[in-house]
Amino acid sequence: MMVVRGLVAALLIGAAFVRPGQTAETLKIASFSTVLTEIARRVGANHVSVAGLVKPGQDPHEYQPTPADLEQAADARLILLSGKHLEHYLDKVQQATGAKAASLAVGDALPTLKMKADPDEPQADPTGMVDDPHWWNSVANVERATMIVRDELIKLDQADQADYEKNAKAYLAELEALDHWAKRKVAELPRDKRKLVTSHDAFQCLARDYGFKIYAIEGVSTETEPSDRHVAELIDEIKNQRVKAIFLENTLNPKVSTEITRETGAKIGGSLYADGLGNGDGSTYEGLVRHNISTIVDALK
Amino acid sequence: MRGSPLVRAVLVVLALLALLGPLRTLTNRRTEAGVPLQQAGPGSAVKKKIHLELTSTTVPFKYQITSGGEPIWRGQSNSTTAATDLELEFPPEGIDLVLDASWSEQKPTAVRLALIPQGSGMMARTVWGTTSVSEVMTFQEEK
Repeated sequence: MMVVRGLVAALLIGAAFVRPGQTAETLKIASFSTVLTEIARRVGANHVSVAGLVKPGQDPHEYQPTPADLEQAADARLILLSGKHLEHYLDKVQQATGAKAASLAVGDALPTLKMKADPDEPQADPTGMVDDPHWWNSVANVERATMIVRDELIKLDQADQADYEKNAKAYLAELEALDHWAKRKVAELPRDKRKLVTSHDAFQCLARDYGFKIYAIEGVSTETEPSDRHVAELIDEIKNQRVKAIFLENTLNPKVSTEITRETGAKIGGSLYADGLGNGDGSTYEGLVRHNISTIVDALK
Repeated sequence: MRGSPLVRAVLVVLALLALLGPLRTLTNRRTEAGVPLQQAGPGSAVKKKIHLELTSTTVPFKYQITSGGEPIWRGQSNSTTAATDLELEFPPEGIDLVLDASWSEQKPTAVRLALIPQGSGMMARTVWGTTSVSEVMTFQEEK
């Protein structure tokens, strides 16, 4: 009898701490973007369990989901995608998950920045332009993405709405402070020196936000090799514009960049995180932005 | 003119020394409410004479203008407007000036930075704050 009473008491006490609609289970999320993985973890906190399928430092242009990744995606209630045609393996994900999980291509809801497509790019429009998939290289876009993820979490789990709103507000405040810091740091560099030579064309959003002009060695995707003609034109441009430094990327082979520096006399300004979170400084979004902006400004001064 | 050449040379040197004080005052002009700290930022663009004017709806206010990571003008003003003249590199791509201003009274305040490059029209930006403002302002001449 004592045991039964004890159990009933324990159940009643436990029930007092559970709000209506709350279950012990967390909302399972599968994310195909390192930046979205961070956003989901920050906004969802203890109410979500996020499987980051594209890992920090992995090149999202070349990523292919493994059977284990597809299993995790099939088990999720929400699938976060970068969008803007970055996930060329989307059909595999859709086949694996069916219509079970809500699929959210966050980038598709963000402002579009058109850029020149690679010659064999299937997503190019008739004028040879394509949407820039690297939306996370704009802090303002990551702020918008945070609000989109917050709203989706609330839609799927209304019981925890207040927590999602509070967590998103705190994260958005950090992003706003980060953008302010970035603007001040970039202001140290005269506008006529804001010429950014990078391994592939991933920084158009950063260029738009902070007044840089981009000269990319490769195209939109890291899978495209630069032609000899393009490299020769770029070498002339770097010499004419007296560009002081060129930048490597954490996910790319630096061979061509190193050759260009030899031809032009420009120095290697450092390595940038172009395709999302990485290891080291860029293991958080704030760290990524601080690393990229400081590296660029300090090398071009 | 009479006298030895040595005496005449000494007189000329003394006269030049006496002129040094007034010349320094004329060429090193100080503004009423602040001190220009730097004549030019880094870079290779052509330097231009630029008139800067700062207006705050709350007084007194403290301010600092930074260009190229270096403070170029700072001070405190008891009147709503402070002004100075500087020489700055002003490339066709424009310049970024960082405005930091603060005031002791907590109230909504508009702070306006106007910039007039020699031979060009005025460009101005306004920002609002409650106790302080910190803003990067971009100025570019129309082509």
